[in-house]
Formats: sequence, C-alpha cells, structure tokens
Amino acid sequence: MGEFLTGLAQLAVVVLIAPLVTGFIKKIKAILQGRQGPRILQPYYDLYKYMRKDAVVSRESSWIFTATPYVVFGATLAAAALVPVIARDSLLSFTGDLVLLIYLFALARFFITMAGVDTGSSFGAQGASREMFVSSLAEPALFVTLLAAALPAGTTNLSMIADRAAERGWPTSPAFYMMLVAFAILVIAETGRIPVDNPDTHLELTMIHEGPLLEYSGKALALLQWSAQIKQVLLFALLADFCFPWGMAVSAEWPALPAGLAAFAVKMAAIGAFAAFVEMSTAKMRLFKFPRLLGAALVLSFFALTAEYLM
Amino acid sequence: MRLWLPGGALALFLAGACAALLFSGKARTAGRRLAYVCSAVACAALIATGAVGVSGETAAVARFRGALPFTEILLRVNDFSAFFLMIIGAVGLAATIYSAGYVKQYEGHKSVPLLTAGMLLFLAAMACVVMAGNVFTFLLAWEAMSVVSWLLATYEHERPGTQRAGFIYVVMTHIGTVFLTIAFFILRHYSGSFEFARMEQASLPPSAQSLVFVLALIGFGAKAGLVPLHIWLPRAHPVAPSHISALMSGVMLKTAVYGFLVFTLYFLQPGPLWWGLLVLAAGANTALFGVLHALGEADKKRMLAYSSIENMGILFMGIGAMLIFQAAGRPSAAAFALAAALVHAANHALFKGLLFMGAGAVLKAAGTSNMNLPGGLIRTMPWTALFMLAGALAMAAMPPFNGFVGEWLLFQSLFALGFEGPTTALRIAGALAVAALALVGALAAFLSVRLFAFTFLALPRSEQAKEAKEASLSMRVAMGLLAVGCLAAGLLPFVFAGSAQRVLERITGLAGAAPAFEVSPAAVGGGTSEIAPAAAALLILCGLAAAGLLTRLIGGRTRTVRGETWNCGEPLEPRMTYTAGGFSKPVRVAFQRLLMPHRVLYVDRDPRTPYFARGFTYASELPPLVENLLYKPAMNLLVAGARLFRGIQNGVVQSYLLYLLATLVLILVWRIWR
Repeated sequence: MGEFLTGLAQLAVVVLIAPLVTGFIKKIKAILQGRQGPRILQPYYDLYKYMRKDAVVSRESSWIFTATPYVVFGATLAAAALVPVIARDSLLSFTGDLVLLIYLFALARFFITMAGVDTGSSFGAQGASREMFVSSLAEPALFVTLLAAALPAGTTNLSMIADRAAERGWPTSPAFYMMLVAFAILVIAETGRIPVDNPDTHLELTMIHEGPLLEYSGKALALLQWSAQIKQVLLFALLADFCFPWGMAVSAEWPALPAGLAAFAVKMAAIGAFAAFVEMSTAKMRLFKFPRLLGAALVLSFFALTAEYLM
Repeated sequence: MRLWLPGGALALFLAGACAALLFSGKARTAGRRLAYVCSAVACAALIATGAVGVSGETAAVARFRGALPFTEILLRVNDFSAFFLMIIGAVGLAATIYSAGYVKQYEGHKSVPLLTAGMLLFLAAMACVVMAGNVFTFLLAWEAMSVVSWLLATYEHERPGTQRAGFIYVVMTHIGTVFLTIAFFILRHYSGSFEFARMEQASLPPSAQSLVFVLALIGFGAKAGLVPLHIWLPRAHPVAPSHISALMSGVMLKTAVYGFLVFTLYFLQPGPLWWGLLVLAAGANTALFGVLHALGEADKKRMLAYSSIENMGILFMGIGAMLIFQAAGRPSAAAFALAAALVHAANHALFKGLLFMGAGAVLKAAGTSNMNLPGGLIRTMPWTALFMLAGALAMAAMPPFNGFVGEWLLFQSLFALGFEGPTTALRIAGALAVAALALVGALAAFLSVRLFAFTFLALPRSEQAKEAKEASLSMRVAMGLLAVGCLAAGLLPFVFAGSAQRVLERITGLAGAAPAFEVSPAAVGGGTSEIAPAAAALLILCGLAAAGLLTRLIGGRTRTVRGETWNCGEPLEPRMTYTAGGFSKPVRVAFQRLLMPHRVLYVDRDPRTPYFARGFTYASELPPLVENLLYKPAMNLLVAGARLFRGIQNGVVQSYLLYLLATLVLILVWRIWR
C-alpha cells in the first residue's frame, strides 16, 4: 500500500510541477537575455485561463480532433506513472518498461499529428509532417542511447536501471559522458526546444510541435499544453534517472521521501537551466539539417556503447 | 489430436469451391452462399485446430497413396503447423465474410463463382502447405498456392498492368520453387527419404547444411518478399481484389515464414553464426527498404504491400536474432526471439488483413486507391474509418494494440543481444539492429498516420469522395472482427503469445527454454522486464477520465462553438489542404541518397515575358531501383548469352536432325571408349 501511495504521489508531483518547470526555464532564459520576463508561475495562470475559455472548433474537423487532447493527456499520464522521479519505484514498476514509455509518447504524437491534418489546415498538416519527420530521425538515436544507458543494468525496466545507476556512484568512464551528450541532444529534440523547434514561436511556417495545436482553443489547448509540459518533465527525469540518480528514495519512508523530492527539484532546476542556456545561445536549425544533429547523437551513443563493450 | 478437424476443413474448402462452380442459373446465388458457409465453417475448424493443436497433443498423420511411390499425399499436424493454421483460419474467416459484400461490384461483368471458388482453393492450398508431411505434398501445395494466387491476382486482367504484374509474380515464385526443390533433394540425399519426419533426423555435413540453408533462404525469401527478391510483391498484391490482397499479404507470406522455420528448426542443426547475421541483415535491409518505399508510394494498396515487405523484414530480424542465439548456445534467448517472430506473424496477419480490407472498402466507395484523392471519408464512412484507425494504430505498434506486443518482444531480444551478446562484434550488431528497428518503427508510425489521415480526415478532395457510401454490412462485420482481434491480442497478449509459448516449449533444440518468455493472461515478458498492456490501457483510460474531470473542475462549464479553419483569412478549399505526397516529403528528401527520387518540373512560360508562368507540371516518383540496378542488367546478360547460341538455333529441321545424330555418335563413342 505504501508503494502504491508513493507511486501516486510521484505521479501527482510530476503533473503539478510540470508548468513550474516551463515557467522556470522561461524565467532563466529571460534573465540570460537581460529581460525581466513573465512570472515564474505564469504557465499555471495560462492553463487556468485556457480552461475557462469557450472553445472554437473547426467545422471541417471530426471526432478525432475532439478526442485527441484527451488521448494525449491519458497517454502522457500513463507515461508519468512509469517513470520513477522521487523514489526508485513508480506506480507501474512491474511494467515500467523503457520501450513502453517511448511508445506511449509515440501514441500521443500519433494522435496530435492526426488532429493536425484533421482540420484541413495546411499549417497543421505541415507541423504534423515535420513532427513525424523529427521523431523518425530521433528514435534510432534515442533507442541506442537508452541501450547504452541501460547497459550496466542489463534490463529495460526503469526502476532497475535507476537502482543500478545509483549504486555506481560518480561515473568516470568516457562512455558515460558521450552518452550524456547524446541524451541531452535527444531530450532537447524531443521536448521541442531550440535548435530543433521553438516553443515560443507563433510564426506558422516555422512551427513544428505548435503547428497541429494551432486550431485548438479552450480546455483542449490547456490539456495539450499541460501534456507537453509533463512530457518535458518526464524526459528531464529520465535523463536524471539514468545519469544522476542520486538522492532518490529507496523505500517509502519519512525522511527519504522529502529528501528525494528536494533532490528531484534540484535536478529539474539544473537541467532546466541548461536547456534555457542552450536555447539562449543557439539559433534554430533548418529542418533538413536535423539529420546531421540527430546523426551526431546516434554516432555518439554508438561510440559510448562500443567504449562500454570494450572496457 | 485427430486429423479430422483440419482434414474436414480441407474437404469443406473443396466442396465449397465445387458448389460455387457447379451451381448455375438460378441456383448460382445459392451455390455461392453454400460456398461461403463451407468456407466459414472450415476456417472456424482451422482456428479450432490451432486452439486444440497448440495446447499440446501429439502430431497426427494421414496418408493417401498415389500411383507412383513418391506421389504419396502425407498430411500431418503438429503444434507448429497448428499455430499457422490458426492464422490462416482467422484471416480466412474475415475474408470470407468480407467477400460476400465486396464481390457484388463484379456481378454482371465478371465471373463471381470463379473468384469465390478461387478464394476457397487458395485457402485450402495454404492450409495444405503448413500441413504437408512430405516433399511431394509440400511442393504440390506450394505450387497450387502460387498458381491459384496468381490466377486470383490477375482476376481483373483487363486493367492495364495487371497481366504484367501477374507475369512477374509467377516468374519470381517459380524461381523460388527451384531453389526449394534443390534444397529438398539435398536433404533427400542425406536422409534417404522424402518424408519430413525422416528428414528431421538426418544429420548433414556442415557444408551441406549451409548450402541447404542458403537455398531455403533464397527460396522462401522470394515468397516472403525479402529485398532484392521482393519485386513481384508491390506489383501483384495491389492488383488483386482486396480480400485476396488481404489473404496474400496477411497469410500467404506467413507460409514462407513457416517453411523457412521448418528448415531452420527441424531439418537443420543449429548452424554457424553467419547464418543469423545474414538473416538479421537481410531482415533489417528489407524492413528499411519497405517502409521508405511505402512512404514514397501514392497508391494505397501498393503502399500496404510495401508495408508488408517491411513487416516481413521485421519478422526475419526476429528469426535472425534467434539463429544468432542458437549458434551462441543460448536457447532461452533464442526462444524469446522466435516468440517475437511468431507473435509478430500472427499480429501482422490480423492488421494487414484489416487494412487491405479497409483499403478495398475505400476503393469501392471512392473509386480510387490514390492516396492524394479521397479525404474526409470519416463523415461518410464512419465505421470503416473506426476499424481502419484500429488497423493503423496496430500497424504503428501503438500500445495497447497487438502490433506493440510483437515489436516489444523483438526490441527485447535485440536489446538482449546488445546487453549480453557472446562477442563484442555481436553486441554491436545488436545495437545496430536496435537502431534499424527503431527507425523502421518510427517511420511505420509516420506511414500509419499518412494512411489514415489522408484517407479519412480533412476535406474531401474529389466528387466521389463527397458522395462515398459506407461499406456494406458484411464488409463492416469482417473488418470489425479483425479490429477487435487487433485490440484483444494487444490487451491480452495471452491470445497469441500464449500459443507461441507452447509451440516454443516443444520445438526441437529449444526444449526447456521457454521460461525466458512468460505469458500470464495480462502480461508478457521474460528475463528482466515485462509489460502489462492491459494495465497501461487502463491507465490511459484513467488519464482520459482525469483530463475530463480536471478541466471541468478547474475551468467550469464552457461552450464549444463551430468555426472556420484558420487559413490566413482566405476561405479553405480542398485543393489547399496538404496531400499525402507532401506529408512524407521530408523523408524523401532526407533519404534521397537511398531512394533517388525522380522529379520533373516543367514550367510553361509566357513567351512575351520571362517573369510569368502560364502553368506548372510537376511529377515525382520513386524509380524501381532494384529492378534498374539488378534485374535489368541480369536480363540483358541473359539475352546477350542467348544471342551467342542463336547461330545453332537456325530453324532448319535438317540441322537439328544432324545435332541429334552427332549427339548419338558422341554418346556411342563415349560408351565404347569406356
């Protein structure tokens, strides 16, 4: 029962903290650019505002368009139940499988892209096409990186990987750092940040993830944005689980859990600040240059694997 | 288990075919109905055989003596063939129901009884292939299957291109059969018998083993559509009537998998490592080739055929991993990889059958299988759209649909190769295979969105699409059955994975290995990881409910207004919407070194001024690279070689007689010399 409650608490933390992480990144970015920027809690106000607004739905769209935000939120929530954040166990540790996690994200993407086409809008379909394109290129690199990350544990179960990584202590092998760089590139690509995508853009022709969301309004938009924020936290958490699993609660006990929560907050802040720094210091890439960036991630993760094998 | 269930099924197929052909005049419809009933009952019997046979009783055998000693018909059913009988029965049942509605469009101008009888004979031949117990029966059934499917594929022979497609199919499949025949004769040489049971006990020297292996890989690879032996598949599958396409892609390709596995698991001892590496590489190559070409394809049915090539590639990757583990002496990991291949075989049969039937329903309603033309069909064909969505989700391996279970198992066995492969080189091969499978999986999701979204969503792009009618009841029932099957097999992996597990426990050389792969009614897994798709699905549903609840609680009640799609202030017209070709364009650009797309842009300029164009013509296509680079040179070589001998073949009877005389004299001289 304790484990179940811990799992539920982790799920709640991820869902509730997600807008804060987005607000934090925006704030750091603003500071780095010498602006004051919006308040750190602004994403919460935005979500609240969207939820209270009436929705306008395209006449050309079908039930796919209406159902998509709910399916996306559901799949993202299921993914959130798989990833250990504060404690090493998650709600679904027994099935907490990496491949399942990636395919849950893919399920969400599947519906978002369909909704993008559904309205008949060229912007939606264009964004959908690009979204699928980027994810197709990112997927092989992502899987090889995960293979490299999961190699010491020899399993694809997330809790066991975090367990094994925590025992390892401070990593010294060059393989680890190559894997880390590849992982960071992929997290940036998957969260739709510069240089792959620009989450703040409202110029239709450059949008990737925002393209299919263009026609959404009201509660549906709130759900989709919230889902994107949760996905971002989950990817950050995945990076933390594999590379810096320190401070995670091993069992559901009193002092361990708040300590795990504090460690989680520090890790999110660090990764978020890193993402803001990258976003501030690079320009967005052309679409057809992604293959090189993601190819670099793939090659790096292969090097990491080979180094791990040979050592 | 006795043989009466599958044997009865065979008899019913034949009786049904006779009924469809022999009843004429007013009784014609009755005859066809009788044929459908026979077929449906027979398919149910095949499914039952799978359920009973797989639950582990001894093999059953029936013999029918022929006129010559080697023309004995020998049928047998064991667990392994029962698994494939189940696949044949499941898709066959749906195809039978579907055809009742689908063939109506042919009434009046084509012979429907021939088509119906052909379908039944096709099913019977496929069942015979997996039930064959000796070489004669196998090759007879194999040829019957090929010939009947060729006749069915060229059913609409008056359409342009159909006869040519049929010709290429029949040539390629016979090239495959030649290799198989040679392989069988080598096995006969070492076992002293044409019976499979004796061949299983034969022991071959390593060189002969490898020779038989390569022959079997080419022979069955030609049937399975392994690149570069695939050229017939994207031609022959799309031109057939849709329920036949469903059977060809969903089921017939699996008989090649069955045959190849019979060779590798039963006839041959575990071989050297390069067998597995070869099959793994061939599978990965085939999968990537298939999915990239599917993304470039504008014809819906041909796109599905390319997707079948992709899925056969994925299947052979599983078989390759199995062979590697076998060679490395890791039977439990080999069992896991084989389970991946078997489960994926069953899953692919279900969803590809469903998608071909859906494509047929759209073809019938909208009059075109061009991906760029219909659109917006979800309003006029809501049920077809729903079932196709299930098929598309399964094809994209989305949880909780069945495609995911097979893909997960394969990922697990490739990860296992990467984690604990016996040598560093093999581990790197495992990592490469993981990357290839991930790329193929992601592109397959791209493909599924493309297939569904541009058929059913957005605005209708043709007059026919606007007035399309929903598919008839029987077609909807058939698609619905398969869609439910896709979901059920995904939620409860037990459905197929359980039968696969029991097959694994009994397969030669892998005995006692099955614990690596465990199935409970809700979960599937082994080694160190497992998945519970039903739990994930439940969680998704909870998330759905939470989404509704949270937005309502936080935001309160809001209204939904219908408005126009934002189109920069202009009214939206169908021709402004994205097309399937544009949707997958980034992939064609990124992989242009591999695909070498051919583009022609012709600008019709106004002769008076260079600044204004009167019109544009743009064409883009993927050239058939394998044909151009491999088959055409080979054909030219063959023709050039034949030209060398043209001098001998001068058409004069006297000189031919002279050749005979010369040959006779030579033989006589040779005999006397000896």
